[in-house]
Amino acid sequence: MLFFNSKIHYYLRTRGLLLVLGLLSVFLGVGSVLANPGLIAEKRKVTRVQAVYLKHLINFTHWDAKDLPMPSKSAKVLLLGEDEGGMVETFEYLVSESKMKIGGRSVEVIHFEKPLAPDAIKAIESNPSVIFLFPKSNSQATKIRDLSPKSLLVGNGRDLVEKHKADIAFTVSKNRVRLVIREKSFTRKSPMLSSRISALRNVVEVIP
Amino acid sequence: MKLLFRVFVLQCIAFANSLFGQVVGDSNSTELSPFEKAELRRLLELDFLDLSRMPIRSVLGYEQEHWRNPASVHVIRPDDISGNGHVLTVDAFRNVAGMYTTRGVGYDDFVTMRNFSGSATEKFLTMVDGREVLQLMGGTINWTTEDVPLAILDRVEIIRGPGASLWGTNAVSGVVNVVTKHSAQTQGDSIRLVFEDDGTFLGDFVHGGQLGDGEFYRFWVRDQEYSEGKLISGLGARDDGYARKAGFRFDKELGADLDLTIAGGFATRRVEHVLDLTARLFYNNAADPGSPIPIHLASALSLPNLPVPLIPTSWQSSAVSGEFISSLNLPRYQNYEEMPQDGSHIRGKLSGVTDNDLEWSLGGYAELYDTSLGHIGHSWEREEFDFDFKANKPIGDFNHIAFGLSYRHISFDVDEVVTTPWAFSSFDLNTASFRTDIPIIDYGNSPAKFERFAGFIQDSIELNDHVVLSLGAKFEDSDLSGSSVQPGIRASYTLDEQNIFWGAYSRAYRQASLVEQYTTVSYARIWDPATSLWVNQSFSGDPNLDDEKMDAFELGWRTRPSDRLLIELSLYHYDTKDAVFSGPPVYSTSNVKTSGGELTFDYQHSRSWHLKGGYSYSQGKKDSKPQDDFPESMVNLSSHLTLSDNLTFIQSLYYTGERTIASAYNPIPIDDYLRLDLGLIWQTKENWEIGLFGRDLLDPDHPENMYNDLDVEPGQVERTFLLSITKKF
Repeated sequence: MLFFNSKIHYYLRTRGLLLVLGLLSVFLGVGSVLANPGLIAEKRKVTRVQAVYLKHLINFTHWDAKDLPMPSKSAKVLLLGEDEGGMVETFEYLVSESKMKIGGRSVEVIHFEKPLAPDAIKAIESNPSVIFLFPKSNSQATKIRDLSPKSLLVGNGRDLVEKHKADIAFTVSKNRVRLVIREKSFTRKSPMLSSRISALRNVVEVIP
Repeated sequence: MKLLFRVFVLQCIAFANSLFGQVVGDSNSTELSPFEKAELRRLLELDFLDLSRMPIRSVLGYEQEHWRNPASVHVIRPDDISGNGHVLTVDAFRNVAGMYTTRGVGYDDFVTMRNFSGSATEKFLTMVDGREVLQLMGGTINWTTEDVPLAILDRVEIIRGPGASLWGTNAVSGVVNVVTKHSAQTQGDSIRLVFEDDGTFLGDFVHGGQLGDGEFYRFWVRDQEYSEGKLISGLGARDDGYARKAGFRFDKELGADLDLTIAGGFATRRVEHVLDLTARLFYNNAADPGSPIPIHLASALSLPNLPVPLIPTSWQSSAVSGEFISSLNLPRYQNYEEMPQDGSHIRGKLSGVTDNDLEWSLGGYAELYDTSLGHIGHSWEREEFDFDFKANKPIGDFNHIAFGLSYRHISFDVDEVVTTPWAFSSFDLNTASFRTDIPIIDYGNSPAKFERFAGFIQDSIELNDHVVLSLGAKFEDSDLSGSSVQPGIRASYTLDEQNIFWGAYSRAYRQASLVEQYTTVSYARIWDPATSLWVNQSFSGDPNLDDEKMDAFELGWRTRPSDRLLIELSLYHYDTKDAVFSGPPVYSTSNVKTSGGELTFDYQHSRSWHLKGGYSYSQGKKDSKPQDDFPESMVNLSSHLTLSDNLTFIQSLYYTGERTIASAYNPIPIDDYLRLDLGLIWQTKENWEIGLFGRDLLDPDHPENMYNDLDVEPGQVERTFLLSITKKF
């Protein structure tokens, strides 16, 4: 058999359309340099996947009753920092669409753009069930952890778990969203992550 | 076509304008678009494993559901099958606009996508977990053999239109990609039992378990029993029989981002098939040799020098006593023979992601298939080995390259026998001798071993947040069809948060089947009164048949006015050269042009009412003459109304326009038909589901299809009532 025999030549010779399309692609390629391409679509996709992960993680977390608000009140999820990927609206949509509950309580989503503003600190000290930190607020994670030791602290980047005592961090590697989880999150009494999550070896990295 | 092409070019210009003009809305908005909301609802249904496998940046063909995908895509989920009262996956294609799904007899289903079929019905590529399942011999797919239990089915992706640059030869009118679940997602036991009022039965049992850390398995068994239906003449179709299947899958995590999958299956089917012989014996019409006279009519007309006996002794064994056919009242002859099929396959796949984001898979497949089409005395055994390597990798911020290589080896062992009625002496014009051993289909000493090498490369380019461009080509070299290049370009343009336009040009190829290339078909015998001889009539395939070549132009519009409503419009124009049509006198080629489109919608009115539907329009011209072998219009509509937390009422309506079953000898007109299905599904809290469906409630029976050209009589598709009992994982 002859690979690339004359048929190929025939097509290249006769299909002027290919040439047109080739020129078009070059034109568009140049255009991609001249234009102002962004990675917003990618960022928003990461946000969507993270938000669904967060929703699942909450389902796999147990809180002692004493760490939850009164049954008549809603459990709080605080989102702290500058939201660049639409996490606030995404998570609010998931809460509404899935009728999310924490310990049988309805869920209230609260966002503070400045994590250490007086209102935000007050909210952190009120022992919210979950605190989610946006990437630019990682440097304040240790302080937030100290202010609310009984919250499930979630954010971005491995350092958040390794250095700032957060429970869960999302990382993006190998074109996937993955989870880094502090080992203590599986062993402490409340909030305690289900050990079923640690069995997902390809998704979850558990670190001391 | 010119108009469509101009529109295509204009759309390309619009894409370019978007690059410089940035006329679109503010993409920095944190507000969720209707597309994003719908995507979130889908993601909510995924578990950790699915989420962990979701690529952030994707390439066309690797994540077909993304709304920016520049292709016409429909995805079937298991609930779309059981929830609409369908038994097999192929039945659910009736809910897909652009797909024409029909039944011959009880065990034979035919699927055509976007118009013309020629000799073969399935001019699209079907893959089950990466394994090509198109039968090279006849160019068809055995949907029963390839079906899998719903409990292990993840999804069926249907890509309307050629996907050749990524998928390769035979991805002409579309691609059907069946994907099963990872065995970690099928842990425990699942049962599905389906009983039909005519006695047809299907039973599936699936068991999955864990062997160790990161080691999961499942196995499954299926029994399918067919009851006998009726042919359009009212005669029994003798299509009762059974199909039994078993399969397994083992998944192991070998390391971080390195997975091994080994899977296999075995299927056996025992049924009978019939060949109508009523119009196979003729009397030579000297005045018009092209229009021979049926032998019984010649006898009725007392034409001179008739054979004695009028019907050869061997032929008389197929007489159906007291039955007559056609306005000529010809005595009926039918020959039933067994049609056993056995198939088994095993596949292995190693897949992973490297530290530099290269996602790859290395797969190997081996298949053994043994069948005998007893009614035409044609049997073959096929051994097949396939290897493929696929990879994709983001390059920089805007490009995502996909590439791959594959090799296939197929060998056939073909055998022919002469069925009893045909075993009488006749003169063979091909050998100029008298013979009693002329089979209906003769493969002779034609080539029986074939190899194919292929490679593809494709770049998906995210030009900005609004324009996605996909450029690629597939290169193939095979013993059957030589070398070919199959290029494709696709692009989508996000106009705003609610509207996306896409366009595509592709060149695709379909290999002529082995039957079309290498067989000699003896379809009749003619009594020559001048010589007092029976003369065999045959036509032969053409080994020099070129690949069918299709230039395809597509345009699409996808809009979500709200997150609850999706409307899609897809338009296409296919220009096909050398499309194969069967003789006699030969398998000939024609140029075919087809144009049409699909308009679909998916409306989730509320949590309690979900409405889906589609309209397809298609017109084909063969050598500039309009074709009628495909319905011009088709409609499907299904409504799911939740009556209470665990009770759903389903209504499905299907309309199929009139058509003709193509045949060189005996074309059969099929009237348009309207089908109404109603059903109730009751779901218990313990994962049990009970469904009760009435199908074809408007019509006690109607014919739909049968094999072209073999003069096999269509069966009646009858009204049925169906009870399904399912225990999910």
